[in-house]
Amino acid sequence: MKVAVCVKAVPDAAGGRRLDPATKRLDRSGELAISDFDTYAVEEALKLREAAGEGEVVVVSMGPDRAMDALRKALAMGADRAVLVTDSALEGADALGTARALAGALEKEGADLVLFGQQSADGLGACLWAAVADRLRLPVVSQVSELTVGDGSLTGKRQTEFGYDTIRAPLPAVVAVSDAINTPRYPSLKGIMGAKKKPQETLTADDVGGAAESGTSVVELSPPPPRGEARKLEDDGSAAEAIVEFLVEKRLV
Amino acid sequence: MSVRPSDFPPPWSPSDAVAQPTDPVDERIEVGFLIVGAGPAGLAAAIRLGQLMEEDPATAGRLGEVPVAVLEKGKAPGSHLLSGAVVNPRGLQRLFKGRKRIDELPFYGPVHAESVLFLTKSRAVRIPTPPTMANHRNFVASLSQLGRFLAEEAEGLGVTILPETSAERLLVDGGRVVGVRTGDRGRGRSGEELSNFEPGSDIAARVTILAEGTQGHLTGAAFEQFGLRGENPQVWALAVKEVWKVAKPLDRVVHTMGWPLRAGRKFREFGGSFIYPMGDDMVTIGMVVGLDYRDAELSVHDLLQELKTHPRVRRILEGGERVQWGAKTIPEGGFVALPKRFHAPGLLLCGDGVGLVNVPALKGIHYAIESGRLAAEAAWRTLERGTSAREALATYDAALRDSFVWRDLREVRNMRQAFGRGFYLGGALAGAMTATKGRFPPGDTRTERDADQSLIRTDRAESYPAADGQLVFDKLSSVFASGNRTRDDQPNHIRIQTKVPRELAEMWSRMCPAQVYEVGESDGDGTVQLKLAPSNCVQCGAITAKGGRLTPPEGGSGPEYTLT
Ligand SMILES: Cc1cc2nc3c(=O)[nH]c(=O)nc-3n(C[C@H](O)[C@H](O)[C@H](O)COP(=O)(O)OP(=O)(O)OC[C@H]3O[C@@H](n4cnc5c(N)ncnc54)[C@H](O)[C@@H]3O)c2cc1C
Ligand code: SF4
Repeated sequence: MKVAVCVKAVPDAAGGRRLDPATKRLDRSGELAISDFDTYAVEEALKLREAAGEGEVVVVSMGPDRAMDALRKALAMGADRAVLVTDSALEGADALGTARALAGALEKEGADLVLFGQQSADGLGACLWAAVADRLRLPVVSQVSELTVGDGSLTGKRQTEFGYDTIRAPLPAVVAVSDAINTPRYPSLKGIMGAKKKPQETLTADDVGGAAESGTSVVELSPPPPRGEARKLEDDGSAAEAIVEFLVEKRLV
Repeated sequence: MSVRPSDFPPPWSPSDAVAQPTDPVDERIEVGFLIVGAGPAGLAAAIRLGQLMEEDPATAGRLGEVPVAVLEKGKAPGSHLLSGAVVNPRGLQRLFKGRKRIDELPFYGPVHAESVLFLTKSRAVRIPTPPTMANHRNFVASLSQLGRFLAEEAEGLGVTILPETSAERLLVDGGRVVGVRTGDRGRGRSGEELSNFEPGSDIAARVTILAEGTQGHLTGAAFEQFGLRGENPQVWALAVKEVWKVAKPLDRVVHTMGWPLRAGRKFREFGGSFIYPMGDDMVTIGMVVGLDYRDAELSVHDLLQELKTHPRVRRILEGGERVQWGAKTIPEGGFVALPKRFHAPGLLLCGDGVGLVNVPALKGIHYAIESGRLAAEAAWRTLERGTSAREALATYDAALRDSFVWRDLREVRNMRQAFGRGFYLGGALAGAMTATKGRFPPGDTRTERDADQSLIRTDRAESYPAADGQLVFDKLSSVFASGNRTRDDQPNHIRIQTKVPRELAEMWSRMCPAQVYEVGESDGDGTVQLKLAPSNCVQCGAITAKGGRLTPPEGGSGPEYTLT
């Protein structure tokens, strides 16, 4: 079985993410790291390969050429190959443009299963998997917290607000996993050392069917409103009362 | 009776950090040369080895599939690097001789002007800069950025860098260092294996170079194991610093002394501050205080906050925004606290780990780089036919003693004699030199352990300004600004006694810049329970100087500095 995992290299959160007012885009000049949510998808793919005792896991991404360093983490965890679509023509692509590029790369791969994390750690869009599935004309199941694959179909337990849906879909299919599905492994030292030598391929926009016009553009940016006045209570035994008083005073209860 | 931190030693012994190899031979990871620590020392060693491999591929071929590996406990190279930094380019120039020009290095630019200020609460008096402190021809840099740059250079030369990997034990077999064991990952709070548990590995190497920086975990163990300790104990200062985006450029390098530190001898408050421009739109500001201080209420974090409220300092930061924060210790023992030897069988030691810091000038980066370069050359010599490994490694000691590092450190040893430690920032003290000379008897070159200073208590904490989230910050928001995202369900990595006199618990909780310690319930017998929040720790090392023991937590933990 061949599993493709779509991952995104995002600015490392530690330094704090920053929007660049000039380009109205996220500042991507710093270190890039593979989005945390995507490591769950990588882990799930590795588990499926291990359970099957055969198969291939390929990570697919679109981003600046530096993103390959971030993809190496997935290779260190155990993925077999990395494919990066990178092209200045794709810079600033919105969800639609990104979906086109990824779908183009995935078409070449012809995987049995395409996995996504639930959302990117920077854009928090949680929609790319749907757009990609749509382009590929494949079934899509999102928010999957338990996944079994066998006999040409998959069964996913889907976390919803009210409980769980269990959904079966024929393969090939697209699945977005939730961060409750597993605990991603740490790359082993041998894995990290071996990652560099694994196949790493880059594709241009032309390789994946050309760059798409973005359907959206960012019109304006504004910082979130200030949090307003906060009051800190030391609990000397009367904090509960004080909180109730505060809520009453603000007419919140 | 007054309390000394050293009366409450941590439940830890250096032998905990030494072991024999345990992995079966076929599972062991074999590398040629192993370097612990991706700081300037370790990366200079890696780069030099890379250059030698390039020059002599045939010999390099004998080193196996991974000829040179560097272990780094931080998330990435640079994540745990913090310095001033005004860099003397000498070390880098020698390392990159004929390969790179200065303008190809990631510097913010040369130092154009500098001032040394003596502060009182509301005034600032400029004093002449003594020649030993002169910084023209030096360059301002962020060590974290420089480290990332050097790591890329090293990788380009075929070096393997392994971040998120702590070296936890020194592997010793038959009296010889044979490599290190890396730490486990994925353990729970009480040490249990979590579902993603990944055990550490033995890494075997023909030579291990320890470049762990200040408070080196394995370095300390090696000192004991091989009897390397010098005559005087090492002493440290704690530095806390911030990086600011500022509205107007700062045109010079500034050092201050005096306020908010106190002059009385009984306080033993030695130190000062540095304020360096990083290009036109950033400034870094840091406070450095010797850890032989005595006041249980002293907090370097809060002294830095207080310093920023000085009218002269506030003016520099006005309209700006703090973008990063961090803390780290600096070995300050200088020449008299150097170890007896810098090598042992299979082992070479360099950088801050062995205390190569010029205290009056607050500089160690160029010494770290030079010592790393020399260590690499000695390691490489073990490949020469007809030279025994022992002879080859011994050439490192000889080369170091023959280098500018040694000459510089020996030259300033008298400075320390004359002033007591920590007066460097003020180097300053050229003017004050005459005034104070008599107070420090010549010949007094001994150091006393920081943890041996008995504690006193003043009401110093009352003057710490309250956090406003603009200019003045509390410790928790500072920890956040260090990028620390440590998983908080991992085992406690701090060894410390938790039932101690109230004064000691208070000293620890004030001292720690990252709010790891909290004074808990009183036991009714004069002692209290010490409570810990280890995931806040930014691994500054102060606790090791002052009565506890920092051990490396799970690889990848701790701060994620990018601009320090
Ligand atoms: C606030 C401050 C200001 C300073 N200002 C200046 C200045 O202006 N100019 C100057 O020249 N010097 C300055 N110094 C001193 C200078 O920063 C040091 O001398 C220099 O960084 C030492 O380099 P190093 O490579 O020995 O150690 P470090 O820079 O400390 O690097 C050691 C590296 O090893 C890693 N490591 C340690 N132990 C392990 C382990 N067991 N496993 C894996 N990894 C490990 C650490 O994470 C770290 O990345 C300053 C220091 C401080 C704290
Ligand atoms: S607990 Fe960590 S941050 Fe606090 S003093 Fe100790 S080493 Fe420094």
